[in-house]
Amino acid sequence: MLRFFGTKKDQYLIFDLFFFLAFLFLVIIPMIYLGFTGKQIDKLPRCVKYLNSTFKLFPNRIPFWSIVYMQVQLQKDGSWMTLVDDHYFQAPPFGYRLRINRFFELFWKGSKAKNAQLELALWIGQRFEEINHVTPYMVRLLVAQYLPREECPIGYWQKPTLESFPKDKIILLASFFYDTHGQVE
Amino acid sequence: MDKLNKILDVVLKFCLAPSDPIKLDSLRLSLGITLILYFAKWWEHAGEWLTSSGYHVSAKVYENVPILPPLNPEFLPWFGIIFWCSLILWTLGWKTKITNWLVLAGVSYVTFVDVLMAYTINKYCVLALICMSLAPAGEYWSISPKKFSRGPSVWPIRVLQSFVIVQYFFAGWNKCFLGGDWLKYPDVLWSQVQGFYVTDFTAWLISVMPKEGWTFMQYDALSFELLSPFLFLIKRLRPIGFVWGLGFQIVVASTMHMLIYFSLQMLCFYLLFFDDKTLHEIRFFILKTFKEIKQELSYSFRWFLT
Repeated sequence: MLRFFGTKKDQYLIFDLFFFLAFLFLVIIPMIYLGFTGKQIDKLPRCVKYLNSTFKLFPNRIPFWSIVYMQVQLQKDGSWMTLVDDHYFQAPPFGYRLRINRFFELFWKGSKAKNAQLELALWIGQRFEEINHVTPYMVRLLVAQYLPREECPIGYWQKPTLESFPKDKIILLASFFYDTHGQVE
Repeated sequence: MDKLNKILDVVLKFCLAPSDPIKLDSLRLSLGITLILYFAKWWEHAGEWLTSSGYHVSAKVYENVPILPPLNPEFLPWFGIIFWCSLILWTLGWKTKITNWLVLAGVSYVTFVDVLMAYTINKYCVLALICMSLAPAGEYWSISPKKFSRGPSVWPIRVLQSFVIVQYFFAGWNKCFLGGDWLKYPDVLWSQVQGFYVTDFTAWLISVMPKEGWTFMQYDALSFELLSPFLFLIKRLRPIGFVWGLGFQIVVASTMHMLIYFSLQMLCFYLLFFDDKTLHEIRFFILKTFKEIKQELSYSFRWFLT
């Protein structure tokens, strides 16, 4: 083993060994551990843990697809207006969907999800104000359940209108007051 | 002690010996082309994705990931110029010691600035680019070939090969265990190709193919993933692995909207399992074909002038 590290040109080998071991212990072995146990090694840096988590690719049957709708109310007890998605989100992260759909994959339930939804609602309210020059009274996020169909879908995916869903398939995910100071609750 | 030294020698040679740059160069070229196609597709929405004009999850609500701040919209053109120039030059193999790091910085920024857009494809790229930055190639498939006094070490290839096998195997493992239900239900794939991902082709396929066909494809995909360590580690089985994997990625690309970019990326990594002789033959064939086309065009041009 001494002959690998004995001469000046073999300094490359020292660096190569260092990088190889770094990848082995920071990437490959943690990935194997994550793969078998479903848990990350806590002591790894956050960015490494994030880069290593690549296994959850379509692991579950989808009983229904969650379609997100944004709505605002301009005054108390007023009617709810469904917002046009394109005015707020245009970039599609894989598939015929928008970044807001991806948002709800990450922030669906729990206290962290509530804080994230609050942040999103604030941004939607601010964007609505910029576009329409009107301050909304309330912002809410609805989810409609689209079931995979036995009869074939007609062509590529197109987002159904909210009205096409029966009421028992529409869930109110969150609603927030948006006051004139731009605060949400 | 001698035996131990011998074993250590074999292991170190397998992991660190100098290697022919053709594998990494081929990966660089193919991954570069894939990244160009991928970012070109999404670039029209770069303002929403990369700048403060679009919605971004803040670092305080998503602590799992080190989220980077979005760009000021005024800086997007400058970012774009640097990013695209470095990506194209890296793909062409120009000064890879510099351009590799620039591309890594750009792709890393894009990955960590917006968790809503960054996907598995981004993570694979970042890992591959880190490997390649630490061992830059650029001798073949390059507009500025560099002569090495010794070939680059084989460790990036070993790491990326391990990564492919681990990724495929545990993607399959996850589908069966740890909450996955591919073994519980026969219509998992059928349910997944609908909704957001359904294309015109998928809609047609759902209409003509019975559910049993989808079940067959489901277990075929699962088998490929779980058998991937054997298919890629055992040299004799590699041709089967390549064909099976190619079929698997084609099905993914054709039945789910936009996943073609993910499939293309995975197929780039297959080049790491080809032997050097085959890669040189492929390179020779492609360059010969281009030379013949160039000659034909110059004859036609001269004929046209006369």
